[in-house]
Amino acid sequence: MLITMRKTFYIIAREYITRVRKKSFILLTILGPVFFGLVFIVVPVLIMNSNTTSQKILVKDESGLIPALPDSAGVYFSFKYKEKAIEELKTNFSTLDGGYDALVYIPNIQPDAPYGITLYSNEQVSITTKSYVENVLADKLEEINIQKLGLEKKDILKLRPKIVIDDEVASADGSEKSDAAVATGIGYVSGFLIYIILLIYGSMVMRGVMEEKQNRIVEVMISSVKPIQLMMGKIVGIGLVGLTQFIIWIVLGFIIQIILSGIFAPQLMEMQNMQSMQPQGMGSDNTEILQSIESLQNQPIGFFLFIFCIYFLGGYLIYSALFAAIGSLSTDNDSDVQMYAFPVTMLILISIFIMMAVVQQPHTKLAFWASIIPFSSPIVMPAIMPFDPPLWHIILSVGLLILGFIFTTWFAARIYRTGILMYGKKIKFMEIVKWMFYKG
Amino acid sequence: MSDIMIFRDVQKNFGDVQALQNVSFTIPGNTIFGLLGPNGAGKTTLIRIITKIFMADSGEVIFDGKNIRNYQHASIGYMPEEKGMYKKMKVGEHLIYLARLKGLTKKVAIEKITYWLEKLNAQEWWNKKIEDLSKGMQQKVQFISTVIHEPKLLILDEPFSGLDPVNAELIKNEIYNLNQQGTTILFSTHRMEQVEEICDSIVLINQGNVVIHGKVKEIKNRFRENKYVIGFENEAVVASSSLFEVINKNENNYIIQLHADAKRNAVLNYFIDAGNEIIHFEELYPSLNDIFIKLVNADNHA
Repeated sequence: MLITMRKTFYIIAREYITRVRKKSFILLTILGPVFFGLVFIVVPVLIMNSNTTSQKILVKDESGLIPALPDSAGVYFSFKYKEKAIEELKTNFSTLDGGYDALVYIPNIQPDAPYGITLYSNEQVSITTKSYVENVLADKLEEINIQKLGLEKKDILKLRPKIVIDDEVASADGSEKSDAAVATGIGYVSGFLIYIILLIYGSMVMRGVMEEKQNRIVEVMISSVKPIQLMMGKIVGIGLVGLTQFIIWIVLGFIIQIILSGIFAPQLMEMQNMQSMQPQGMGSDNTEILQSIESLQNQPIGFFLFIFCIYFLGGYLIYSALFAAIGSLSTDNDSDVQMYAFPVTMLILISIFIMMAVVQQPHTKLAFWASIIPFSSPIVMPAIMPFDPPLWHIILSVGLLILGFIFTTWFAARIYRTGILMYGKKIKFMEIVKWMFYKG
Repeated sequence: MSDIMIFRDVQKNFGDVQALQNVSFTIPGNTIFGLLGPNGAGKTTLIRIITKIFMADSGEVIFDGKNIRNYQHASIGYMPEEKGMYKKMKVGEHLIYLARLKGLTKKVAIEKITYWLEKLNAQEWWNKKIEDLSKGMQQKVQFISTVIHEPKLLILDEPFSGLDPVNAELIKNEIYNLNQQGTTILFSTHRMEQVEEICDSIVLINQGNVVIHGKVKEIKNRFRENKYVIGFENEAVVASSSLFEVINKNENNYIIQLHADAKRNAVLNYFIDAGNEIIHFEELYPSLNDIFIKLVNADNHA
């Protein structure tokens, strides 16, 4: 027993050290956050900015209701060529004044029945541009309609007061504040993190097994240790690599947070002061943000982290065992592996889609089942956690996760120990089923 | 010396495929033992049972007096036909890793590795990456990793493939040395001339069954066909007679097969009387290669 454990430890150590030492690990650890920054910050900003490539729009107004329209950062209106007929403008707007991107034709409309407005363009106009034009036209007509009724803008605002609902979840130990937006946010991020971990480190395990099989070291190895030791050693070793990476990221995150709060703390204070000076009205948006921050701080972080770790571990162990089994089925032809990897990747993808639906509606049947089935629970359950599921639900889910882990490892080990010794031909699915029943 | 390994009625199936049907034989201790058979005969299955990669379905495998289930991996060294290593690792750390998996402490492992690298003229390889070594050099490293824990039984599957004659000789000498120090060697190959040169005893398996098993000399004795080579000083006219038949001729050398009741001296007298000057007269034993082909063909047609 002691020897077995020591050998497994050597395997874990080798898997860990050879990976952590690699340049690609150091690069990924540094570039990982940069990449996420790109995905979550730079790309949305870029998308927003890409719409502001300026669009010149010519307006032909036959109703006389619209003398001017406000320009935005990306859209410029022109009301020239009033004397020209629409038929003529339609054909040559793209050549006038160095070329307009679009032509808006307003026929002789009534302000309360604005039908027949048309936008002509040579290329498809983006949705944001179109909806901007619609908005400014509606604003203009609204103004006219309000005047016609003898009202003022502020009267309209009075008719529709702004409502902010405080969420409160009734629970046995007194009522407790909750905030659906924050819960959704935390849930989303947690589920997404585990999804990424499963994919990255799962496929790392798979590649590791394939490598060992294809360079034939595996036969030497399993004449020294049991196949399950080799498989588990690899899974644990790579899991530790992932953990190391996350610890580095968390530490880096804290350092960055400290630096940032050092810079931005005065501004935050100022914002809170302004808040107290404005008793009501305008500041309502800020109140919501501050409430959200408060709500974030009110979440039971310790317990949440603990649950997150359990699902991180359980999910990783289940999926990496499956990926190890798939790697053991590899032949010299890589596409064979992809055929087997596909269903497992699909399981993960389906889980992430379910998770995205579940954070919106955490109390559906789908949410319940997806959060207790061990193949989806690692992604779905952490996303449900911020919505305070009952304790029995958590225990059921964790219990099934552990059972799922035991079963999957058993199942994967049986495929693995036979698969790693099979060379040459492609392995058929029915053969794998038979391996389940081979004797030790 | 007693038998180090005993197989009794060993069977192994993979689904519907019978890899080993009913295999019984013994490997005498401190010998160089040849495991022969055509491709797909069950050699690899047999080796994998010995190395405990998997267990036999039924039958008994005894190693060093104990059932195979009860010994540690450490008493066996195995070099598979397909040589594999962690290519990105350095020679030193690779060897230490495998040695520790065989139960050696790091300190002892380093001592042994130093000893073996020196012995195989490879001292300066310690910090080289394995992928930077030539195929022959890698094979030396693999050999070291197989013998480093001083196993009682050393299993070598095609150990010389890919080695140049100089290095093959080097490894062959080490195999003899280890054998002299008491290691039993199980040698699996297709190269019959190597078996004849190296092995004391063999087993030949085909289609999961033992076809023949025993000492090389005895097997050859059993399959002699009364064939002799006779050589003459000058060109001689030799034709089949009542004593023998001519099988083959090569310059002044003839291969003749004696009839069952013919005496060797009678044959010699026959040639002397004919005035031929005899240079040599020697019994021609069948090569293992011939026996192998003959037995396997007979077995496959049976």
